[in-house]
Amino acid sequence: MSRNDSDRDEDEEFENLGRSQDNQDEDSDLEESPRRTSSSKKPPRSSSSSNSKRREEEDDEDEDDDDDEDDEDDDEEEADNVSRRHKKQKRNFNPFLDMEAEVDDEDEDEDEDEESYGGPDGFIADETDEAAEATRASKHMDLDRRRREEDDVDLEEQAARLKERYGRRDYAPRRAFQGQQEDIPQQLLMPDVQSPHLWMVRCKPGKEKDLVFSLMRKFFDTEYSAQPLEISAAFSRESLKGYVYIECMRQANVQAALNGLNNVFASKLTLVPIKEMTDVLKVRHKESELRPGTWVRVKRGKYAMDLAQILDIADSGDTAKVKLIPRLDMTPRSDASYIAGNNKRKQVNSALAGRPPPKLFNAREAEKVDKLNKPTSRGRGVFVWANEVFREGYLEKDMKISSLITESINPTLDEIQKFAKGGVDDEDGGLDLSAVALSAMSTSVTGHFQPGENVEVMEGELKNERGTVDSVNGDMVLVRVWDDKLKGNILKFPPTQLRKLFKEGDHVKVVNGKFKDETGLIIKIEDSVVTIVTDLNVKDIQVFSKDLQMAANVASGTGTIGQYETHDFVQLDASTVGVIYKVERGFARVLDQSGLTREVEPHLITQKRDSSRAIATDGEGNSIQDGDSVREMGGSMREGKILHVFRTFAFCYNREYMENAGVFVQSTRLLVSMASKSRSQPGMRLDTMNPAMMNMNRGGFNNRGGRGGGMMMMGRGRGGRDPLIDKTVTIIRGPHKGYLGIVKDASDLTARVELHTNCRIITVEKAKLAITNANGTTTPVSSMPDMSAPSTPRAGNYGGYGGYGGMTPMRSGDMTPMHPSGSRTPAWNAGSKTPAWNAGSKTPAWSASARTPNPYADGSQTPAWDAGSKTPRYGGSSAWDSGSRTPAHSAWDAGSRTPARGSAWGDSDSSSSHNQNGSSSGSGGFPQTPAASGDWMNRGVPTPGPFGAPSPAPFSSYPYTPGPSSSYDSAPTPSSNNFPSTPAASSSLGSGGGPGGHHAGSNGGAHSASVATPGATPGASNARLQSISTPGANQTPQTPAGGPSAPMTPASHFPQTPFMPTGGDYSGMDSHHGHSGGQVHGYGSGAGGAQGAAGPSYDWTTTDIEVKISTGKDGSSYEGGKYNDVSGRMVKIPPRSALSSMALCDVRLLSGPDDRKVIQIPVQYLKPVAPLKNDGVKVLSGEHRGALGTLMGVDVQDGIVSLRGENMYKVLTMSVLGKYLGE
Amino acid sequence: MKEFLLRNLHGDVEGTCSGKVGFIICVLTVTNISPGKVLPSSGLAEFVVHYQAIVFKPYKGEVVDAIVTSVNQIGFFADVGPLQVFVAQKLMPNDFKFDSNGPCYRGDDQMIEKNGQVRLKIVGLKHQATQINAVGTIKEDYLGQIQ
Repeated sequence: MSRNDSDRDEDEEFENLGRSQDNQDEDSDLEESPRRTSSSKKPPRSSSSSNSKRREEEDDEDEDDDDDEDDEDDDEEEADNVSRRHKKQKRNFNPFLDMEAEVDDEDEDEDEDEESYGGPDGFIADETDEAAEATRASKHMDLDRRRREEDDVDLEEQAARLKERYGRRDYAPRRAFQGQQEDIPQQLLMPDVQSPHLWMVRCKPGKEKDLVFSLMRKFFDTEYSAQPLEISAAFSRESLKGYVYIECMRQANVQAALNGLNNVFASKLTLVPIKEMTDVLKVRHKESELRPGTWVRVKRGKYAMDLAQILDIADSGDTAKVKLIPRLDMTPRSDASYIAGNNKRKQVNSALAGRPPPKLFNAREAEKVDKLNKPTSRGRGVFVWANEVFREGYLEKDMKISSLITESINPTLDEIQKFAKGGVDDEDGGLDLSAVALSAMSTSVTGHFQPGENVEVMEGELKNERGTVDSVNGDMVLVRVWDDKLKGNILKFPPTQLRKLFKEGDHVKVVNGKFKDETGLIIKIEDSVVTIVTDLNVKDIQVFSKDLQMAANVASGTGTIGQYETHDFVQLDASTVGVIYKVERGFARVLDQSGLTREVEPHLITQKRDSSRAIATDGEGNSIQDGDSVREMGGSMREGKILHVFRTFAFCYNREYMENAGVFVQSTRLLVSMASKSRSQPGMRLDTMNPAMMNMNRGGFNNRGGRGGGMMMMGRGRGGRDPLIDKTVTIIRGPHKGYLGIVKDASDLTARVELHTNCRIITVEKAKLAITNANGTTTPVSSMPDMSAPSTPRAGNYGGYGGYGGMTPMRSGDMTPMHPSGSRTPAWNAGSKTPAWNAGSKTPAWSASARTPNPYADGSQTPAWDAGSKTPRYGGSSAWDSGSRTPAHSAWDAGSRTPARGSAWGDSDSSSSHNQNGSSSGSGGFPQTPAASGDWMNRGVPTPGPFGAPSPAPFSSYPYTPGPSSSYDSAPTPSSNNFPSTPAASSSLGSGGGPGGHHAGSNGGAHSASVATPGATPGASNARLQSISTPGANQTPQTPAGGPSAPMTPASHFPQTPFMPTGGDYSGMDSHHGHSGGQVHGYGSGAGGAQGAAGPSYDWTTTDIEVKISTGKDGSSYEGGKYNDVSGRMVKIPPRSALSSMALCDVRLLSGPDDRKVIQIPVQYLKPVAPLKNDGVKVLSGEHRGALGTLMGVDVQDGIVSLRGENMYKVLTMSVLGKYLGE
Repeated sequence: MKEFLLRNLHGDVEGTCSGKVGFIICVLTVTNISPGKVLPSSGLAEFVVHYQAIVFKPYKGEVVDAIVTSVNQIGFFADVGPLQVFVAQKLMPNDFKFDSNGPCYRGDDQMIEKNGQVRLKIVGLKHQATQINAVGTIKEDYLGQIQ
C-alpha cells in the first residue's frame, strides 16, 4: 500500500470520527448534509468539496494536518469518489454503529482495518453509487436554498437565530472528544514499520556534524541524477559523540549514501528499534529547567564543587556557558615552553590537592605571570588568556551540562556574594538578593512548605494569588486559594512558583540557614527577603522567607549545642575559661576571660564549670557572686548582671549591649556591686566576715590572695619533689616495723617503699618511717624539715607551703588535693578550738624531737625550720592567718583604709601569691594607725569567732607537710607556746636564715612580740582580745613575713611576689615595729627601713616635714628611748651623698620633754609622719619630689593631693607624702 | 477574711501581666468570692475570686504614646506603661540616622533620645506567659517624636 493510500485512510478515519459525532448531534448532521449536497453539485471540485467539508469539521475541531489534505488534493477524483462512496455506504449501512468503538479498533490495528474494509468497501460502494449521488444532490440543493434565504435575512436576525440554534449546545462532549483526537496524530506520527528506519553509524568523534553536512551536499548533488540518495534524513546528537543517524527505508540506501565519505565507519550499521527512535530525539525535560542565572556546581576537575552561574545554554541543550571564579595558577612561569595546555592538564591531574585558590582574574597579574602569553583584550573587561575567556574577572567557560550538578545546590550567601562582588553583567539582569532568593528557591525542594502555611504565587497566571497550603503532594503543593472567584478551590503549584507569605509583625522562626532556630518578629518584607528582629538579642537579621516558619513560642535561647547552652561557663583549656554568648550552627561563640572572643566547636570545650559558689570581691571589697548586679567603676560604666565569677574575673550580661550579645568580662576589682550600700557598713561587713571566715579561707580569701596561693602551689608545691624519695628509710611502726627500704615515691601522707628484703614495694604512712642516715642513726620522717632545710635553696618542703594554698582555694582546690581533707580533718576542728598560735608554739616539741645530729639542729632551735622555707612560710602564714584572725587581720581587712594594704595587696591584682598576700597584709597591718586598730577593735571585739576559725587553717595543713606535722601532733602541751618567746631562740631563727643574719635582732624582736601576743592566749577569747588590744602584738606576727621574707630567702618564692618592690620599705617598718614593741603610729617608710637588707635609703629626708622619733632598725633607741614617740620637725638634713643610717639630721622637737629644742639625731631613728586630710604635704619621693601641696583626701592607699601651682589633683601614694609643717 | 482575700488579690494580681488578658492594672470590683475549699494535705484554702479589672492589652495596629528607655544601634526601646516596645531602625523613617552621641536617632526634624516621648504604632506582639513584648514602628505619618 502506498503512502498516499495510507494517508487517505487516515483521512477517512477522521471523517468517520467527525461523523460519529454528527450522528450524536442532529443539528450538526443537518448542517452538514446540505453542504455535502452542494458540493456534489460541483463535480470538478468534488475533491475540494470534500476537503472544504472536512475543513469545516477541522475548523470546529481544530485538528488534522494540512499535509494530509494536500496529499488528498493530489489524489485522483476517482480515488476520492471511492472513498466518498465508502463513507456513504458506511453511513447508510451502519447508522447506529458505535463509532467510537470503531475508532478504537482502527487505532489499535490500523493495518488490519485498512485491509478488512478497504477492498469490500470499494466493492459495495459501486453498487450504491447512484443512490448516494441522488441524496447528495438533494442535500446540496437544500443548502443552496437555505443560503439564499439567509442572505435575505437581516444579519442580526441571522445571528440571533444562529445563537438560538447553537447557543444551547453543550460543547463539552465534543471538546472531550477532541482531546481524544489530539492523541491520534501524535500516535500516528510515531514511526512505524512503514516509516523510514533509522540507522546509527559509527564515525570519527567530532566529525559528526561534518558528516551530516557532507551527506546533505551529497543529497543535493545527486537529487536530480539517476541515482538520488534515498535517505530522508541525517542528523547527529551532540550528546552522543561518534555516531550519526541516517533515516531511510533500506540499509542499502545508507551504504550508498555513505559510500565515498570520510571519517565514517560504514561497516557498523545499527538499526535503531522503532520503539527507541523517538528517544533518540527526545529532549530531556530536566535540561530545559536550566535557565541563565541559575546556580550550578561543577562536578569534577579543577573547579570541582565550585559554584557557577549559568550564563547561556547552547541550543543543543547539553552545553552551557557558565561563569566561574577562576582558579588560576599565578606562579610565574619562567619556563617559556611551559605552554598553557600542558599546564591545564597538569592541574587537572593534581586535581583538588594543589588547586589554586579561587580569585578573580586580573590582567596585570596575568601579564606578570606569563610574559610570553599576555592576555589579549577583547573589549571592555574581557580578556582571553590561556585559551580561556575572562569577563570582569570571572571565567566564562563552556561546560557540558552533564558535568554540572544542577540539583540541590544550596549556594551559601557567601558564595553568592563573591559573584556579586565584581559587578554583575548587565545581561544577567543584576544580582540582587531577591534574584538570589529566587534561584535558591528554584533549587529547593518542596520540603519547606508545610500544610497551613500561607503562600503567595510568584509566577504564572495566578501570580500574586494568595492562599493556604492544603497539603504537599510529591513535588506539587496543593494550595487553597483565598481569592473570591476561586474560593475553596485547591490548586496545584510547583514549589518554585510559591513563596511563603508573612505579614509584618508575625512571629517567626528560622528553620534553615545561618540563623537557624532564631525566632523573631518580622519588621520588614521585601519580596522574598524578610527582616526580622530576633527575640534573643534584639538584632535584625535578613533571611529568605522560604527559611521561615510561623512560630508560636520564643526560642529558648538559640539554644544549645551539645550539652552546652548560651551563657554557660566553660573551660576551653587549662588556662582559658569563657562564657558562651551565642550558639550558632555547629559552633559556639565564646568570650574568654581575657575578653577575646572565639568560635569553638563543642568538642573543643573541655568541660562546663560551675561558678555558683564562687565569690569574688569587688572594687570596694564587697563580695560579689553570680547573679549580682554590678557596675563598672570606670570606662564605659557598663552595668550588668554577673553570669559567672572566675578568679578575679566576672562575666556579666546586659542584653542592651550589642557587643558579644551583651556578655562582657571585667576584672572584679573594677566592678562595684550595685547592692553594695548595705554591705559596706562596717558592722555588716564584719558580720559577713565572721561566718565568712570559711570564705576567707576558702572562697573570699581565695579570691584575693588565695588564687595566688594556688598558683604558687601549683608552681612549686606540687612540682617540688618530695625530699623523701630515694632515701633509705626504716619503718618504725606497724606490721613492717624494722624493715629497711628505699622510698620510691611519696605523696603527702604516704610513701611507697621498696623493701630491701624481698623487693616488694609497699605503701607506708610517712609517719611510720624513719630515715636512715649515713652514720646509722635514724631520723623520723616527722622531722623531715631538717632534711630539706639544708638544701634551702630548693626551699624544699613547699609541701607545707602548698598546704596553705590547698586550704585556701576552693577553686584551686582541684590543684591541691589536700584541700578537702584539710578542711575536714580533725586538725581543723581542733585548730578552731585551740589557738592556732598555740599549735604553732608547739614547735619546741618538734625541735625537741629533732634529736638528730643535724648540725643545724642545735639545741631546740633548728635553724632549718626557720631558715628554710619554714620561717617565712610560717611567718607568712601567721601573718596571713593572724591577718585574718588577729588585729592584723582587721588590719588586713580594714586595710582598705590603710595605705599599706593598698600597696601590698590592693595592687596585686594579677597574680599576687598567697604568701605575698599574707605578708603584705601583714605589712598592711603595720601602717595601721591606732585609729585603724581601734577600728579593728570595734569590729573585732564583738566577734571573737573569726579569730578562732581562721587560725587553725594554717595548721591544719601542717599535718600534710612531712616535717611539722608530726611535730605538731606530738607536741602535747599548749604550754609550749612559749617556745619562741626567748629572743635568743628567735634570733637564732633569724640567723638560720643566713642572708638575713643581720636582721636577727629585728626578727627576734618581731618574734618575741608575736609570741607575746597569741601565745599568751591558749584559747580564751578574752585573752585574745587583750592580745588584740596590744597593737604591737597584733602586728608582730606579720613581721617575719613582711620583713625578712623578701630579702632573706633567696630561694623562696617571695622575691617573685609583686610585694617585693615595696617590701623594702615595709619590711623596714615592720621590723622597726617589732622593735618598738607595737608602735603602730610609725607609719613612715623609712627609719627602720635602713636596716632592711633591701631597704632603700633615707631618701625621704627633707626639711620642714614632721617626723617622729622611734626605735632604730637595730632595736636601739636614741638616747635610750628618751625621745621615742616624740615628734619633731626636720630642720636640716644631711646632704644626700652622706645619707646613711647614722647621718645626722637636725630636728626641732615639737613635743615631749625638750619641746622646741633642736637635736641632732641619726636618721635611722626618724620616720616621717603621715599627713591627715587637709594637712599640708610635701612629696618625699618620686616625680614630684619636694613639691608642696595639700592633702585633699585619702583614698585607700592613695592620697589625693592638690599640688601648689598646679590646677589638677594628683593621686600619690601615701607613703611618699610627708606632713609639711612649713608655710 | 474577705479583706484578706481582697488584699491578697490586689497584691497578687495588680501589676502582673498575662499573655491572655494583658497587663492587669487595677482591680476594680470583686464580683464574687467562692466559698473556700480547703486543699487536702495542706491547711491552705482555695477561693475562686471573680473580679473586674482595668487591663492594658495592646493590639496590633494600636497607636500608643511611649517613653524611650534606651537607644542603641539597631533601634530603641520604649515603654508604654508596663509594655516594652522595640522599634527597629528599619521601622523608622529613612531619614533617621543613629547618632552615637547621646545616643539618639536624628531625623530631619525629629530626634529620639532617651526619656523622649514618641508616638508609635504597634506592628507586632509577642505574648508570653508572663510577659508581652511588642515591636513598633514610627515609619508612618503622624508617628514619631511628640514635641
